[in-house]
Amino acid sequence: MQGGELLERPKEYTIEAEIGQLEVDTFEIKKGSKKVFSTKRDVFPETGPREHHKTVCFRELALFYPCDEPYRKSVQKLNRALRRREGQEMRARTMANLARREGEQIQASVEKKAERILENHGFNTNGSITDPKKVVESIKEEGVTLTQEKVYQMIEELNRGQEEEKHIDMEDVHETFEDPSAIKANISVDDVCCKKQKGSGRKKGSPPKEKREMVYNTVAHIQDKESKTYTLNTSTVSQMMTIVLAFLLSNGLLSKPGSLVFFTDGARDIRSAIQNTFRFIPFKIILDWFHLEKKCKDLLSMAIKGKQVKNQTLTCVLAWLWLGKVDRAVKVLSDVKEDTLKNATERDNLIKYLYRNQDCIPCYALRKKLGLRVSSNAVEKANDLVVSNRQKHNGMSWSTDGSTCLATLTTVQRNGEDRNWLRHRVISASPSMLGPKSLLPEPLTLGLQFHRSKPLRKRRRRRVRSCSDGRAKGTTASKRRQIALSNNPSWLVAAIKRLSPLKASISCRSVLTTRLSSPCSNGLLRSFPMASNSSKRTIHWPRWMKSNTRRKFAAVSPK
Amino acid sequence: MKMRMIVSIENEDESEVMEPTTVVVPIPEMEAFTGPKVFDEVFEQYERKVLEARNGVVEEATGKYLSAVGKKNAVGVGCARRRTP
Repeated sequence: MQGGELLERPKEYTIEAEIGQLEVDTFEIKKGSKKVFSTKRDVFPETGPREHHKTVCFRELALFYPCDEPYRKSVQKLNRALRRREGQEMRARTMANLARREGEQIQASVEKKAERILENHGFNTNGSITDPKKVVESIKEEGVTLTQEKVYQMIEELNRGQEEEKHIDMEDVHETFEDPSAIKANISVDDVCCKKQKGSGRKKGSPPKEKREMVYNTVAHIQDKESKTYTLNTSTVSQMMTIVLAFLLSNGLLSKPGSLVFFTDGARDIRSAIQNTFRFIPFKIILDWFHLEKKCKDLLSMAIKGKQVKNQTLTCVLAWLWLGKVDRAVKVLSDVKEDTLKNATERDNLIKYLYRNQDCIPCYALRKKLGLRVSSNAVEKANDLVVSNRQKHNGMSWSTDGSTCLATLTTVQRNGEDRNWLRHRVISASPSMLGPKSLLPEPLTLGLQFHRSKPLRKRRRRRVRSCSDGRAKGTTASKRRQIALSNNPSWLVAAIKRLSPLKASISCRSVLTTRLSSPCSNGLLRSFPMASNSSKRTIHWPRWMKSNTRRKFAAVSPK
Repeated sequence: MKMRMIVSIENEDESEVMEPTTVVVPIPEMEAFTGPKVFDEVFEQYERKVLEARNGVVEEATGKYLSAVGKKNAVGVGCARRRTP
């Protein structure tokens, strides 16, 4: 070699690829003691001393398998899929480390991008304004609200048939109602926690800690006016707010006319973080109805003696809160007789809670009538998909970094940015990545209330045992389904399948049993048996089925 | 640059059982690996194409092999039909 010494190092660089584990020879050119060229440095990506380089195809499998399953199962699956020989198999710890490192890199990349965007728009890295001129250029404070006529019309419809005192007055309604077709964004923010790993180096016989430590993740679900969504996750609320601000700025959502609406569960830290970060622009915070109802239930059950009085008070309080009349709800609470009180402090706590959140309690009835959101269910679902489904199971505990990094990887996958990240190491963070409402559960066609199907199992067993003919006793579920399909009119079978597109199973001769299941709840839900008569085409509805549900069901049957 | 994959199935005496299956797949030039920054991108192109071609060629060869198995066993079944006393 001219002007240098060529050194060959056989099988020194290892590449983990989908093709297999590749051991590659490397070359170095040395001039004296100086290394002029090295394939390990100048051709291949640099790795640690005993580290193997992972290719894009391999990382695609190794990073996103554990988003759905534990590391051990994922690594078994990976080794089986790639037919790894003994000694070349990937280990669960390696996979966990890889996921953690990649998650950290994604977070760092997102933070860096957010900082750059904020600086370009006149903010510092904490979200405080540094250049007011630039900020004014990048935002538009104009809010688009629904017309007064439409609101009046809906109020009239709501007031019709109601008692005088429960009427909604336009003068009492101080809030504005955003036009759903012209919003900046609907942002739902929530915290989700999972168990924290116990620290190492615990002493034997040391007293147990009073409360189990938890790892927190903050998830935000952003929806634009075209119902396109994007999910973000961070480890803290304040960090989330700066990233949300950067996201809104980079996608030009703040420069569009319309309202900016936040949906929260009423957590103080989330509320204060929103108020600190977005104080330069008008916004609205709406307390999720489900959480408000739950809070009232919990505190009243601690405050009031006797089920009957408690339920009466709760119904009354919730009725006022649904109309957004916090003062009336507080009056109901204050009027509760002292002898029915179990714990007056809890009652006072509820009153304080209501006053504290008064600004965030809208007229839910009117909002619902106008077709506006009253709930933060989108982020609750996102929490399930991003964190709970993977990280909240028996015996699982997480380190802070481990939990957040895995949640980050899941978020990237859910946002459809996995390939973009693996190939180009870039997160585009644009809601156009997704189609509309991709994170929301499929709506159920029937308005049924669901519960677990334990009674059904009992009934079915009894029925099979009591069959007089010996054949029925031994019939399998699939056989029974076939009998049911052949005995029941086809229009009814088709109707059930149409009504429950997710899962419809039909069984037991002349009795039709439909099971509806949906991704929004756990597994098997409510079942309803109906005796059908194929010749007369009449359905004997079960007693518990509400008349409106019967009507819905009957509407799809042929006339 | 291209890669040719030839799959042939032979008897123990190295005589061919059937025609070899061949596939030619274009792969990136060696000069495309200009540095560590582009390594992943270029190697991904290589890996995807090669994996697809490998699966394709093995699929085709296995199809031929199983067809030959069926043909051979059909003859065997004919013989087996003779009733034994």
